Amino acid sequence: MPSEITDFLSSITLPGDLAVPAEIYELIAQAARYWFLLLMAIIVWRSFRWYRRDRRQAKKRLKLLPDAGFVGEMVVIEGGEALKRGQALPVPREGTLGTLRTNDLCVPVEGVARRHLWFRFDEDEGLRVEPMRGQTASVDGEPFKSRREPLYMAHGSRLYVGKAQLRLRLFAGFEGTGYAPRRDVEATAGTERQDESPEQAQAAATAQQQAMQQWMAQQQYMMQQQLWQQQAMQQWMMQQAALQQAAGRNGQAGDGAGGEEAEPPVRDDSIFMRPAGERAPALPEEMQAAEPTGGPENATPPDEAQGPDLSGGSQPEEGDWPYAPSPRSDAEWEELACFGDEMDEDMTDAAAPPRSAYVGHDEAERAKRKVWDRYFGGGRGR
Amino acid sequence: MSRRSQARAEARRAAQSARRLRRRPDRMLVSAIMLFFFTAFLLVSFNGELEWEGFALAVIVPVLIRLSTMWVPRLFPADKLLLAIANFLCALGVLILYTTDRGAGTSRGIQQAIYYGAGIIAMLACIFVVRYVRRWGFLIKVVMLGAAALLALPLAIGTEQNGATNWINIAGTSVQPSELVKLALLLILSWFMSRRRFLPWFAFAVFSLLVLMLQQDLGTALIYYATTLFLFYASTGNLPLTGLGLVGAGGAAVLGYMMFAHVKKRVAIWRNPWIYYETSGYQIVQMLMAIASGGLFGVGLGLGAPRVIPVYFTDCIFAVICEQFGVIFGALVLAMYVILILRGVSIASAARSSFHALLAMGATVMLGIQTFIIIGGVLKLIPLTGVTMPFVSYGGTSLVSCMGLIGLIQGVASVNQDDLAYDYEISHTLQEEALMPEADRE
Repeated sequence: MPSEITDFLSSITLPGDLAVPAEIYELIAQAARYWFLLLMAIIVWRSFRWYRRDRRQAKKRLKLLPDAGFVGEMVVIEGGEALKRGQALPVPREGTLGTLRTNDLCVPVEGVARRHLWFRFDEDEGLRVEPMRGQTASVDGEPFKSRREPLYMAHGSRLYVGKAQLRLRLFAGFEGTGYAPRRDVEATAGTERQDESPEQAQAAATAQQQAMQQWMAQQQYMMQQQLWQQQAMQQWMMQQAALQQAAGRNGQAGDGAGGEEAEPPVRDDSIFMRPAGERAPALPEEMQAAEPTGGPENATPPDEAQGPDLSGGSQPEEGDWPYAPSPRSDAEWEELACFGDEMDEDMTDAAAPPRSAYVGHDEAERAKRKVWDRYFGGGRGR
Repeated sequence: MSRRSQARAEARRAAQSARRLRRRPDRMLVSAIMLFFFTAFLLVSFNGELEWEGFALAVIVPVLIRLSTMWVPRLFPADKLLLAIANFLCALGVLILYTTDRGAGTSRGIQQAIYYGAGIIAMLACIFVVRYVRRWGFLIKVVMLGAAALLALPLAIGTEQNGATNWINIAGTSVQPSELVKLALLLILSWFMSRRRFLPWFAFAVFSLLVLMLQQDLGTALIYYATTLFLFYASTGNLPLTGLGLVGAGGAAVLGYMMFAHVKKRVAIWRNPWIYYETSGYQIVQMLMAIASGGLFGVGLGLGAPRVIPVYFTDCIFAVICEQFGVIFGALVLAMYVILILRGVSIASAARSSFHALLAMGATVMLGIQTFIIIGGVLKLIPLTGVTMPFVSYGGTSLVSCMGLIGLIQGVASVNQDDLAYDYEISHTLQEEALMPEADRE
């Protein structure tokens, strides 16, 4: 086909008397060598600069979004001497876990092999875990059997590998993977529920609802406080700018006679640690009504046992509790009502967004609560 | 600030942004490439009798470059630099072939231009496949079976060209299946390696190598083997087994040298072609002489005697480039390949899934190995093997296959861009949510 087209095209010719003499063409062609070389050098130089610029931008982007590409974190619950409890190991979409530093998740703990297992994030199922040949691992108490029945980890699932125990905190994929079914807890919870009378079940449901409402109110209260702090800071900065401008206009910029230097509002961190019952000065009525009865900022969501019943294996819907069921019993929660550090012991209940979204940790923390609480961790925002 | 000074400041800002826009690297680069080919084709048109084809190419090729570099990224978030480099190399091939056509009564340049258009379509198809196909489980098996059948087809109905039975005729057009199977090989290797399934990819790779050996297509077999080995190392990091593979390849080369007379001869030509100047060493000697006669700046476009070199339009096209444009230009062409490979590696390393990373890396490595084999052969660094120079050499299947490889890399790049956009979206949503007053959020 191309040959037919080209034959046809070749048959069309221009008048022969327009031809350039060979000597003149030779001269032009020899002169044009330098032109082509120059253009080629420009092309290569521009390409290289473009490549280098993009590399630089990619590095900057990595600094700005250090968590880009990670789907979650493995929080160390038990990690021996090498890994501190609470330490978070970022989890990429795919990778290996083992004692070697070349692994994506380096877990130098007794009982873990150099390359112990391989994992891959599946948007529908969760984090697929597959031990290497001859290795073992279990997820939420369920051991690995064969490659045909792989283990999947959801948000809050626990991975037992060697003597290490890790809990998964997912950044993404809530809508697909939901939360950890916790088969071991689920099994016992199921039998307990069968024994419950309808009144007891009703009471438990009410308690769940109340606990959830209280926790949400607490979160809202903290968000409002933080917003006020921000607004105050912005106001102060604007005042400062106005003052400086005024000083400059009056020609008094150098001696500082433009007025007293206003003090920046001190960030009142104590509001997050406000003891129970103490009110913020300008809290709106509706917020006052919802003010928490105690607790610092990182209040842990109530136990799943107190939250909506999601243990039926269904996917969580919007508004449902997105977090993994807590291993603690009601009595334990009551004991921990001081909202101390222990409250978020394994650091998985506070679902954290990627830190990368922010330059500062504070901003990340603030936004984390605002957005994640708003969407209950159940939406990816689109 | 008075109104006039405000207006002046605004005008300054607008001028600055306009200047910045003009300085955009893509526009600068594409403009330079377009200017290069416009002037080059125009110049060649005046060589000998005036032919309108040259004028047409002077317009069509730059327009094609412009369209495919600047407009394709409007369909997919593709990598413009990669597109620009691939387009430049393709257009360079068209230019050189058209130049050598003048006075020879051939029409390879125009044909190559048509193949170039087909290559762009193949690239778009590959981008589409990588970008939108999410469930590869079943599809990859179909690809595997189809590729195996296609690869084995020349054994049944193939025709021999240059000693290798690796061509088939379809509707009057010669097709080299092993070039097209390259794309399938990459998909198969990447998919099964990313899923940690050893047997399927290993079986396919062994089958492909055996078939290629039977077809005596040693150059392609070398590319397949090297790519497979590299991807194996990239996916597993298993140095001992990779080393074993390298040792095996070395052993096979030594064995081949001892067993086959033509391999011995080829090595002997490579070591000293001047002894065989009038017989088997003629091609390599002519190539070396062409490069030497071009010197630093070349003899000039359309001048010299490129047609003296046997198969100057495929294997030895780099020697023609060096003769007409000079060694410096040749080195700059090599630099373009290096930038292309570096870009491919960047894209592969930015991929979020191992399938995409292996796919982009495999395509890049394949292009890199092929370039090294042919340019190393032309420059007498290694024994000359009959493979094409990616994008530049004459041949529809080769060009379509290379553009398909670029399409695979571009597909991965576009997926990367989507992932990055998602990250930004998340971060901006979070930032806005954090900073916006409560009332505005509702």
